[in-house]
This record gives sequence, C-alpha cells and structure tokens, in this order.
Amino acid sequence: MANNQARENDGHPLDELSPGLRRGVEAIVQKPVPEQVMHRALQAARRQRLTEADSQPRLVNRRWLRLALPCGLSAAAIVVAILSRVAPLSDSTVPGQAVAPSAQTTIAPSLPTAWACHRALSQSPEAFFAMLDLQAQHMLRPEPQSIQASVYPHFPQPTL
Amino acid sequence: MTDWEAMIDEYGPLVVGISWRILGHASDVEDNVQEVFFAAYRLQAKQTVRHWRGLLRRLATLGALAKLRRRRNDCSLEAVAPVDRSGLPEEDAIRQELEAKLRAAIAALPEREAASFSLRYYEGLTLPEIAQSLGINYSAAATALCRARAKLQNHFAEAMAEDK
Repeated sequence: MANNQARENDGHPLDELSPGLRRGVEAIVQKPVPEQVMHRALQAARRQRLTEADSQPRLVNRRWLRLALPCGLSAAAIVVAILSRVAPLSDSTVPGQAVAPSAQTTIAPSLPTAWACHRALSQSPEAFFAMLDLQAQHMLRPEPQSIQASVYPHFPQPTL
Repeated sequence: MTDWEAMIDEYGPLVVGISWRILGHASDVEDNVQEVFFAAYRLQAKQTVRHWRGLLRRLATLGALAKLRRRRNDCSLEAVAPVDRSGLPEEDAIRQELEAKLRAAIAALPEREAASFSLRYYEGLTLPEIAQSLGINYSAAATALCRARAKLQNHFAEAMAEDK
C-alpha cells in the first residue's frame, strides 16, 4: 500500500495501471469531447437556467400573494360591513329582488319610501302613479288610533 | 445572487468533459450536465458554496456514474459520437471495444470505488483532491482507489486472456 501511495504521488497516474487497463483508460482519455456534444450540452444547461430564472419571480410573487390574500379578504370584509350598514340586507330568496314590506309593518303613509318609488317605477309608470294615488288616499284618511304596546302586561301600559 | 451564465461558461466544459469520459453517450451527457447545474442551483439556495469546482466535479462524477449504471443497451444513431476517421478501422473498433469494456466494468463497481477511479485516471486528481471532492477522508479514498484498480486490472487481464 505504501509503495502504491508513493507511486500515486509521483509520475503520471496511468503509470500505476497494468498495460491492459491502461489501454482502456487511454482509449477514453485521449478521445476529446466532440464539439457538437459540448455545444448542445452547454446550450441545454443555459436553457434550463432560463427556466430557473423564471421560477424565481414566481417565488417572489408567492410571497406577495401570502400578504395580499389576507389583506384582500380583510378589505372585502370591511366593505361588506360598511355596505350592510348603509343598505340592510333583505331576506329575499330571489337575488336582486327586494321584499315588499308586509301589511303588518306598514310604514306611516306621510310620504312614499324611496324603495316603494323605485319598485313602482321598475314595474311601470302606471304602477308609480297608482302608488302615488294610494298614498294620497292614505293621507286623506283619519289618523290611526294609538297602538298600545307593552312588553310587561302587568304594568301600566304606555301609549304610543 | 449567483451569475449562472458565467458559471456555465466557466465550469460547463469541465462538467461536460467529466460526463463524456464516463458516459461516452451524447444524450446522457446532455442530461447529466443539466442535472448537475440544477442540483448545484438547489444546493446553493440552501447553503453557501465556497468551492464550485469541487462541487461540480463531484456532482458530475456521481451523476454520470449513476447514469452509467442505469443505462440500457439501446442507443440511437444520433446519440453516438462520430467515428474518428483518422485511424484505421481496426484500431477504431479495438478502441471502441476497450471503451465499452472499461465503462461496463466501472459501472459494476461500488460508487465510491468507481468515483475514485474516474477522478484519478480520467481527471488526474491526487488522493487528497479525490478525498476532498468526494467528502471522505484520505485513507478511505486510497482504499477505494486501490480496490477499484485491483478489480479492473483483474477484469482486463481476464478479458485479454480470453481474447488470446
């Protein structure tokens, strides 16, 4: 082993080999890399590098996405909250169609509501005029009686 | 940030040369070169690389040897390098036969022995350089090299005896 190590440190590496093995190694080592092989391999490596370079901006975009997504969701939640305060959500099952106020919750007929006007106009001009006529008839009627409302029946009932 | 264009310009020929000497197969060389630089790119993303030449030499050698073991016997005409017409046809045939025998014998060796042999006799590295390239100590490199040399010399001695 020591002799082999001494041989490995001095002289040509191929001197360490037997003649048959040396011929085989020389056959490989003395054959240069064909120019076409060199060119194609380097071109392939460069093309691949372009793919890796393209992947780096994607990595950066993913980081931004992680920040943008929760911010976007928060902003959307804030907008929904604001809109829900401005225009109370209706419980209509048909999207885009408001629910008509029920007869039990008739609003004081002093003036038609914006919703009522909008709904009447969306139907037809005739419907709008009919609504105005109805409002006018309500205005001509005597005032309704006071409504007694009490949460606690045993206590004196306030008058509205 | 690593300038990969400059890296390929500087170390590409080294990687192609190592791959070619071990594989001798154009498409395999192309694949191995791509894989080596991609592996180096991934390693560089995780840790700082101080010695690019040693790393690329190691990746190219081990990758090429792995491919050599996996390679099938089928190969297309375009993958074979053009025949050297400067020599006699008989010498070409003998040279190609010796190449094929040596590659087949190296493919049968354990990874460390095959890598030590390739780095020593294809690339001309010293034992300390082989140990550093493979990430092993000096005695392990020396032992692997001695074993590889002994096995291959026996294999070629038998082959030459059969030819006679």
